Amino acid sequence: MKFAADTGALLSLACSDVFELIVKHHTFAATDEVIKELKQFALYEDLLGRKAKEVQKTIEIEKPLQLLPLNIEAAELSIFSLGKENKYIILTDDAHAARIAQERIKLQTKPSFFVFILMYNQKRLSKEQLIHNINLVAKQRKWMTGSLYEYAQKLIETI
Amino acid sequence: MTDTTQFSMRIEEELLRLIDEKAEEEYKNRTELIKEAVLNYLKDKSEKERLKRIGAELWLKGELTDTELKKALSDEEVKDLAFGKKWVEEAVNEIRS
Repeated sequence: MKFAADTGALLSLACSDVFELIVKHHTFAATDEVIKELKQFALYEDLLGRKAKEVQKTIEIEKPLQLLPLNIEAAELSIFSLGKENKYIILTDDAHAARIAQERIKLQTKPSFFVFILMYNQKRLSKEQLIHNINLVAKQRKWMTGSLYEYAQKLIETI
Repeated sequence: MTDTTQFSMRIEEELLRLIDEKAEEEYKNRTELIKEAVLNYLKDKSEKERLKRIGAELWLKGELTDTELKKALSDEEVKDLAFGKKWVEEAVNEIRS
Protein backbone atom coordinates (compact mmCIF):
# COMPACT_ATOMS: atom_id res chain seq x y z
CA MET A 1 0.00 0.00 0.00
CA LYS A 2 1.28 3.49 -0.76
CA PHE A 3 1.03 6.48 1.53
CA ALA A 4 1.73 10.18 1.16
CA ALA A 5 3.07 11.16 4.57
CA ASP A 6 4.01 14.48 6.10
CA THR A 7 6.97 15.08 8.40
CA GLY A 8 5.06 14.56 11.65
CA ALA A 9 3.51 11.31 10.46
CA LEU A 10 6.86 9.94 9.27
CA LEU A 11 8.54 10.84 12.55
CA SER A 12 5.68 9.30 14.55
CA LEU A 13 6.04 6.02 12.66
CA ALA A 14 9.83 6.14 12.96
CA CYS A 15 9.48 6.52 16.76
CA SER A 16 7.79 3.10 16.90
CA ASP A 17 9.82 -0.07 17.25
CA VAL A 18 8.27 -1.61 14.11
CA PHE A 19 9.33 0.99 11.56
CA GLU A 20 11.60 -1.45 9.69
CA LEU A 21 8.72 -3.92 9.42
CA ILE A 22 6.37 -1.18 8.21
CA VAL A 23 8.67 -0.02 5.40
CA LYS A 24 9.18 -3.63 4.34
CA HIS A 25 5.47 -3.90 3.55
CA HIS A 26 4.41 -0.35 2.67
CA THR A 27 5.75 2.48 0.54
CA PHE A 28 5.92 6.10 1.63
CA ALA A 29 6.00 9.03 -0.74
CA ALA A 30 7.01 12.49 0.43
CA THR A 31 7.74 15.82 -1.20
CA ASP A 32 10.71 18.20 -1.27
CA GLU A 33 8.96 20.31 1.36
CA VAL A 34 8.87 17.34 3.73
CA ILE A 35 12.51 16.49 3.00
CA LYS A 36 13.43 20.07 3.86
CA GLU A 37 11.68 19.75 7.24
CA LEU A 38 13.29 16.36 7.90
CA LYS A 39 16.71 17.87 7.17
CA GLN A 40 15.98 20.58 9.75
CA PHE A 41 15.24 17.90 12.36
CA ALA A 42 18.33 15.96 11.31
CA LEU A 43 20.59 18.89 12.22
CA TYR A 44 20.28 17.83 15.87
CA GLU A 45 21.66 14.67 17.43
CA ASP A 46 18.56 13.95 19.54
CA LEU A 47 15.96 11.18 19.08
CA LEU A 48 13.89 13.03 16.46
CA GLY A 49 17.07 14.10 14.67
CA ARG A 50 18.23 10.48 14.41
CA LYS A 51 14.76 9.33 13.31
CA ALA A 52 14.65 12.09 10.67
CA LYS A 53 17.91 10.73 9.19
CA GLU A 54 16.57 7.15 9.17
CA VAL A 55 13.27 8.17 7.56
CA GLN A 56 14.94 9.97 4.66
CA LYS A 57 16.50 6.69 3.50
CA THR A 58 13.11 5.00 3.20
CA ILE A 59 10.92 7.43 1.29
CA GLU A 60 10.25 8.03 -2.38
CA ILE A 61 10.33 11.70 -3.33
CA GLU A 62 7.49 12.82 -5.57
CA LYS A 63 6.06 16.16 -6.61
CA PRO A 64 2.38 17.08 -6.96
CA LEU A 65 1.39 18.56 -10.32
CA GLN A 66 -0.88 21.14 -8.72
CA LEU A 67 -1.39 22.42 -5.20
CA LEU A 68 -4.82 22.25 -3.55
CA PRO A 69 -6.52 25.53 -2.60
CA LEU A 70 -5.93 25.19 1.15
CA ASN A 71 -4.48 27.64 3.61
CA ILE A 72 -2.23 25.23 5.50
CA GLU A 73 1.55 24.79 5.96
CA ALA A 74 3.59 24.18 2.79
CA ALA A 75 4.66 20.63 3.68
CA GLU A 76 1.12 19.48 4.54
CA LEU A 77 -0.23 21.20 1.42
CA SER A 78 2.26 19.40 -0.82
CA ILE A 79 1.51 16.03 0.79
CA PHE A 80 -2.26 16.45 0.66
CA SER A 81 -2.00 17.51 -3.00
CA LEU A 82 0.28 14.59 -3.88
CA GLY A 83 -1.92 12.10 -2.06
CA LYS A 84 -5.12 13.33 -3.67
CA GLU A 85 -3.64 13.35 -7.19
CA ASN A 86 -2.28 9.83 -6.93
CA LYS A 87 -4.99 8.34 -4.70
CA TYR A 88 -2.47 7.50 -1.98
CA ILE A 89 -3.62 7.26 1.63
CA ILE A 90 -2.71 10.60 3.18
CA LEU A 91 -1.04 10.39 6.59
CA THR A 92 -0.67 13.33 8.93
CA ASP A 93 -0.68 13.92 12.67
CA ASP A 94 -1.60 17.55 12.16
CA ALA A 95 -5.24 17.58 13.30
CA HIS A 96 -5.54 21.24 12.30
CA ALA A 97 -4.46 20.67 8.68
CA ALA A 98 -6.60 17.50 8.52
CA ARG A 99 -9.65 19.43 9.77
CA ILE A 100 -9.16 22.29 7.31
CA ALA A 101 -8.79 19.83 4.41
CA GLN A 102 -11.95 17.99 5.39
CA GLU A 103 -13.99 21.14 5.98
CA ARG A 104 -12.92 22.96 2.82
CA ILE A 105 -12.59 20.22 0.19
CA LYS A 106 -13.80 17.07 1.95
CA LEU A 107 -10.34 15.54 1.69
CA GLN A 108 -9.92 12.43 3.81
CA THR A 109 -6.69 11.96 5.74
CA LYS A 110 -5.64 9.42 8.33
CA PRO A 111 -3.66 9.81 11.54
CA SER A 112 -0.29 8.05 11.21
CA PHE A 113 -1.19 5.23 13.66
CA PHE A 114 -3.61 4.03 10.97
CA VAL A 115 -0.56 2.23 9.54
CA PHE A 116 -0.27 0.21 12.78
CA ILE A 117 -3.95 -0.67 12.43
CA LEU A 118 -3.40 -1.87 8.86
CA MET A 119 -0.43 -3.94 10.03
CA TYR A 120 -2.61 -5.41 12.78
CA ASN A 121 -5.42 -6.20 10.30
CA GLN A 122 -2.81 -7.87 8.08
CA LYS A 123 -1.76 -9.94 11.13
CA ARG A 124 1.75 -8.49 11.03
CA LEU A 125 1.33 -6.93 14.48
CA SER A 126 -0.27 -8.40 17.59
CA LYS A 127 -2.77 -6.39 19.62
CA GLU A 128 -0.06 -5.93 22.28
CA GLN A 129 2.36 -4.57 19.66
CA LEU A 130 -0.36 -2.29 18.31
CA ILE A 131 -1.05 -0.80 21.74
CA HIS A 132 2.62 -0.69 22.73
CA ASN A 133 3.60 1.22 19.57
CA ILE A 134 0.78 3.72 19.80
CA ASN A 135 1.84 4.34 23.40
CA LEU A 136 5.49 4.67 22.36
CA VAL A 137 4.63 7.35 19.82
CA ALA A 138 2.21 9.15 22.20
CA LYS A 139 5.12 9.78 24.56
CA GLN A 140 7.32 11.33 21.87
CA ARG A 141 4.91 13.75 20.26
CA LYS A 142 3.55 17.15 21.20
CA TRP A 143 0.46 17.71 23.33
CA MET A 144 -2.32 17.44 20.72
CA THR A 145 -0.92 14.40 18.89
CA GLY A 146 0.13 12.83 22.17
CA SER A 147 -3.32 13.14 23.73
CA LEU A 148 -5.04 11.84 20.57
CA TYR A 149 -2.67 8.85 20.40
CA GLU A 150 -3.40 8.10 24.06
CA TYR A 151 -7.11 8.29 23.33
CA ALA A 152 -6.63 5.84 20.43
CA GLN A 153 -4.71 3.51 22.73
CA LYS A 154 -7.53 3.54 25.33
CA LEU A 155 -10.17 2.84 22.64
CA ILE A 156 -8.17 -0.08 21.27
CA GLU A 157 -7.67 -1.55 24.74
CA THR A 158 -11.45 -1.83 25.12
CA ILE A 159 -11.95 -3.70 21.82
CA MET B 1 29.98 20.65 31.32
CA THR B 2 27.62 20.72 28.32
CA ASP B 3 29.24 21.51 24.96
CA THR B 4 28.41 24.95 23.68
CA THR B 5 28.30 26.33 20.18
CA GLN B 6 28.53 29.83 18.79
CA PHE B 7 26.12 31.61 16.48
CA SER B 8 25.50 35.18 15.46
CA MET B 9 22.23 37.09 15.48
CA ARG B 10 21.01 40.51 14.45
CA ILE B 11 19.27 42.53 17.12
CA GLU B 12 18.01 46.11 17.42
CA GLU B 13 20.44 48.52 19.19
CA GLU B 14 17.68 49.57 21.58
CA LEU B 15 16.94 45.99 22.65
CA LEU B 16 20.64 45.26 23.09
CA ARG B 17 20.98 48.31 25.31
CA LEU B 18 18.08 47.09 27.47
CA ILE B 19 19.66 43.62 27.71
CA ASP B 20 23.01 45.09 28.75
CA GLU B 21 21.39 47.37 31.34
CA LYS B 22 19.45 44.49 32.88
CA ALA B 23 22.54 42.24 32.82
CA GLU B 24 24.59 44.86 34.64
CA GLU B 25 21.83 45.29 37.21
CA GLU B 26 21.82 41.55 37.88
CA TYR B 27 25.66 41.13 37.79
CA LYS B 28 25.44 38.90 34.74
CA ASN B 29 26.94 39.13 31.32
CA ARG B 30 24.92 39.51 28.13
CA THR B 31 25.15 35.81 27.25
CA GLU B 32 24.02 34.67 30.71
CA LEU B 33 21.02 36.98 30.65
CA ILE B 34 19.89 35.93 27.16
CA LYS B 35 20.33 32.23 28.01
CA GLU B 36 18.31 32.62 31.20
CA ALA B 37 15.52 34.45 29.34
CA VAL B 38 15.35 31.80 26.63
CA LEU B 39 15.35 28.96 29.18
CA ASN B 40 12.54 30.62 31.14
CA TYR B 41 10.55 31.11 27.93
CA LEU B 42 10.96 27.44 26.96
CA LYS B 43 10.07 26.29 30.48
CA ASP B 44 6.93 28.43 30.39
CA LYS B 45 5.92 27.09 26.94
CA SER B 46 6.53 23.54 28.06
CA GLU B 47 4.39 24.03 31.21
CA LYS B 48 1.56 25.52 29.11
CA GLU B 49 1.73 22.54 26.73
CA ARG B 50 1.70 20.13 29.68
CA LEU B 51 -1.48 21.78 30.97
CA LYS B 52 -3.06 21.71 27.49
CA ARG B 53 -2.28 18.00 27.26
CA ILE B 54 -3.86 17.32 30.66
CA GLY B 55 -6.94 19.34 29.61
CA ALA B 56 -7.19 17.51 26.29
CA GLU B 57 -6.80 14.10 27.93
CA LEU B 58 -9.46 14.82 30.55
CA TRP B 59 -11.85 16.11 27.87
CA LEU B 60 -11.25 13.03 25.72
CA LYS B 61 -12.05 10.86 28.76
CA GLY B 62 -15.27 12.84 29.32
CA GLU B 63 -14.00 14.23 32.61
CA LEU B 64 -13.91 17.86 31.47
CA THR B 65 -16.79 19.85 29.93
CA ASP B 66 -16.48 21.89 26.71
CA THR B 67 -16.68 25.07 28.77
CA GLU B 68 -13.84 23.93 31.03
CA LEU B 69 -11.75 22.88 28.03
CA LYS B 70 -12.16 26.33 26.48
CA LYS B 71 -10.38 27.83 29.48
CA ALA B 72 -7.20 25.92 28.63
CA LEU B 73 -7.30 25.88 24.81
CA SER B 74 -7.87 28.47 22.09
CA ASP B 75 -11.02 28.26 19.93
CA GLU B 76 -9.02 26.77 17.03
CA GLU B 77 -7.39 24.21 19.30
CA VAL B 78 -10.80 23.18 20.66
CA LYS B 79 -12.06 22.70 17.07
CA ASP B 80 -8.93 20.72 16.16
CA LEU B 81 -9.25 18.48 19.20
CA ALA B 82 -12.96 17.84 18.57
CA PHE B 83 -12.14 16.95 14.95
CA GLY B 84 -9.20 14.82 16.14
CA LYS B 85 -11.48 12.82 18.46
CA LYS B 86 -13.77 11.77 15.57
CA TRP B 87 -10.78 11.26 13.26
CA VAL B 88 -9.16 8.86 15.75
CA GLU B 89 -12.45 7.03 16.38
CA GLU B 90 -12.92 6.49 12.62
CA ALA B 91 -9.38 5.08 12.31
CA VAL B 92 -9.88 2.77 15.31
CA ASN B 93 -13.21 1.58 13.84
CA GLU B 94 -11.26 0.12 10.92
CA ILE B 95 -9.77 -2.52 13.19
CA ARG B 96 -10.91 -5.97 12.13
CA SER B 97 -11.06 -8.43 15.00
